[in-house]
Amino acid sequence: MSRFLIRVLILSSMLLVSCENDAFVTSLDHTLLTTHEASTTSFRFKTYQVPPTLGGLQRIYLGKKDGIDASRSLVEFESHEILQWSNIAVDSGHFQFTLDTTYSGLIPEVNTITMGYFRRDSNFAELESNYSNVDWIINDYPKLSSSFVTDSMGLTHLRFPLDSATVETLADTAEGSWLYLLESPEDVGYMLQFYASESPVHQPLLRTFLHRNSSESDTSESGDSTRVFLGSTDVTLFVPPNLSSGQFDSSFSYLGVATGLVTIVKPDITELNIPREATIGRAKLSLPFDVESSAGVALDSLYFQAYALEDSVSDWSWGEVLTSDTYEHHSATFARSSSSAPMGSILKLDVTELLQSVISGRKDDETTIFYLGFKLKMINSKTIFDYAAVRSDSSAAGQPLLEVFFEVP
Amino acid sequence: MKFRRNHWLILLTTIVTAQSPYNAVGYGILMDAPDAASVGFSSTGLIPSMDSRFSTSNPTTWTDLVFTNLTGNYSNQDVSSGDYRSGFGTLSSVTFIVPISGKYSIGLGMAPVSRKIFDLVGDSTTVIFSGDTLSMSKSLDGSGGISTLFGGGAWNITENHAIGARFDFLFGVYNEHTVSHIDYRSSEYARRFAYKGTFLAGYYRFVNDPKARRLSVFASFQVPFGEYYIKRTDFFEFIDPDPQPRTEFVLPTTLSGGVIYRLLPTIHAGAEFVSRSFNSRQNPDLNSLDGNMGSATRFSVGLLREKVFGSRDWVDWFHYRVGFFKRSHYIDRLKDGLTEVGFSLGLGIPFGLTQNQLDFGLRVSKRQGFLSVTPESITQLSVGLTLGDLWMVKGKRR
Repeated sequence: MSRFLIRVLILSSMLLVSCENDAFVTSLDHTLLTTHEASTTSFRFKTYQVPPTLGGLQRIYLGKKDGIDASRSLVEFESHEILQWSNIAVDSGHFQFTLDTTYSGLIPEVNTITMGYFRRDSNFAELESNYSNVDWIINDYPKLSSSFVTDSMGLTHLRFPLDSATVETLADTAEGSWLYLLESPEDVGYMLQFYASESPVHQPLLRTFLHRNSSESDTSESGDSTRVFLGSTDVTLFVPPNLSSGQFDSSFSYLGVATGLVTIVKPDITELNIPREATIGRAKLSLPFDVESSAGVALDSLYFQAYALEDSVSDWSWGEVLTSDTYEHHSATFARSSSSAPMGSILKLDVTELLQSVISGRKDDETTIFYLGFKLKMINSKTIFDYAAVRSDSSAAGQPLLEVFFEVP
Repeated sequence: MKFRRNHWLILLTTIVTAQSPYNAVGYGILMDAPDAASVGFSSTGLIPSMDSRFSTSNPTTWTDLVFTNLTGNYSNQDVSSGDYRSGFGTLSSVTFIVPISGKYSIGLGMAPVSRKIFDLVGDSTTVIFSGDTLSMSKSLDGSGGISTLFGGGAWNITENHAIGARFDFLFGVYNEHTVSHIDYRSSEYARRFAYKGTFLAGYYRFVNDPKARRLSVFASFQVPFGEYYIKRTDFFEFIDPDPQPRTEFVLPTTLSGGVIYRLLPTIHAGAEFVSRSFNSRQNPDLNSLDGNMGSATRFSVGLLREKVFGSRDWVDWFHYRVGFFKRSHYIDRLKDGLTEVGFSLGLGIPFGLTQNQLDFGLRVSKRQGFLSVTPESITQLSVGLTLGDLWMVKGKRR
């Protein structure tokens, strides 16, 4: 290496860095970032109805209430193939559904509740099945009759007694597992609530009474025993009153769980003039509710959430009844609002992240989030039969309002 | 590969100065002098300061060199104001000069022009919105700046008159980063400015007596030349970067003049004046903080005691420098300008037979302006190493 290059290297080694930095506190009011406030009261609403898909609840419902028909529930139990073992002889058994201890309604004296059974169809899915997609249920199937019994603990059970032949039939899964259909007559004055398989206690069960077969070579003692198989999945097939049935007023927008009511709300954000590069500091969607037209214990026990839509709405007419929810929504956390319950009769939803996502066109799973409106859903309520009516007009309670505080770089 | 090489060059010449809030306005603080000798003499490099004849920044002084010359400088700057303190230092400039037959010279080098290094924090405020109290705060930081890669040459027309020219290719990147907090949300924005431009400067030197060098007069005139522009790209948190159309890179015209006068055989007095003005208004997008760009002046005087050749007294073996300067910066706000006053001390240690020299420069100044009530205290320490060689000088065959 030449002497000159060595000198260059020595010179470069002077690249000694020493640093000490504090931030300087000054007024940054005049930076390029500017804050703005904007609001709009210009809204479009669309209420539509979809078949309620309510598998995985902690209760199984049976009966009819407020026009909501819950006369059918599908139930699955753990595999009971073991009962086919040759050394086991089944004496009898029963299916048992325990009534929710909070249930205070009518218990039918003459029990007309039945439970049918048939081979499970591959289309059955606890979280997807609803009244409109179970046309695979066959018309003719054996049915079990039931009776109510109260045990020493004071719990009321709905039981379906089984003889040994029926238990053995149900244990035979060679041609597929069994699916059970809990049914009540259509016009009844009750809505029974049973603990479901998702419940931490008193799940549906199949209890069998059996004894061990003794053979000549078997020197062990034969004895009676009991074997219990718990419910594994269940879904009540709610049939809500049709939106056009006259129960609902088309001047309101509705939200409900068992009623299958969903509302799409679309504030006119073009009025707000928010540029794409803006940062939403806070966005609040305020919706007034009509207490009289709502059905529920109390509005403040109902929780709602707004989601960004995946598909555009072409028909904004009120009262569309769909067999499935074609207005799909994004599920990413930044594509939905926080959940909130109304205070008084006003629901205020924090839609900051949601609005940011539609303004900036963020991507959810490689799909750009466009502004197609917000889907409002009731996500929690004291009873699933509650529904709420949103006012779209100006009233003493206020009017629909979207307020935005944003920053533009 | 080209990209990486450019960044290496930027790294070499960018991180050279302490941060100051004034760097958030315009192009930031324009650098005075890149070399240790000029720092010690309070000059900008127009008048000689390495000794009474040579400055690394002025091509007309290069013809007096005997050896090929490589100079590198390290600078450390410390800025403090009240409780606020900031310091940074690294290699600042490099110059390579080749004298040709005592009549011509060529050279090239790299040096910082301006810096936009700052770190600002705003006060927290609150705003009531829809019944909620939102707390808001901002922070703003910048890094980068403009550097020059220059090449120049000079020609001694006569023994008394020399002319020179210097071509500066300006380049650099400046990144501005803003973080804004609104209650539970924070958002980040960034802007990147890429500078490209060129300067052309003409130099003139007059010496009344080429042998005695009692008086030397220097002048230079620097103007923007060719194509100069800024490319800005905006960066946002959720949307793709947004390249902006090119904007004008407003560059100043600079007129400088200076003299160096021999008071005694080894003592020289120097004075220098620089006037800088921008021909058009600055693109306001460049400002991270509010401010205007206007004209600037700088005046400095200094004394140089040169090494005494042949002396046995060790005190005579060194160059000593002292200087004073006053400058008004080109940025202001509502006629409230930014001024700086300071003094400097310098020491040059010649060694070896090939005009090698180790230089130290210390400059202390106060900067008073529109952004803070308390003036900024600036201390700059520069160290320069000059190495002479017979490189590119034809030797005698044995």
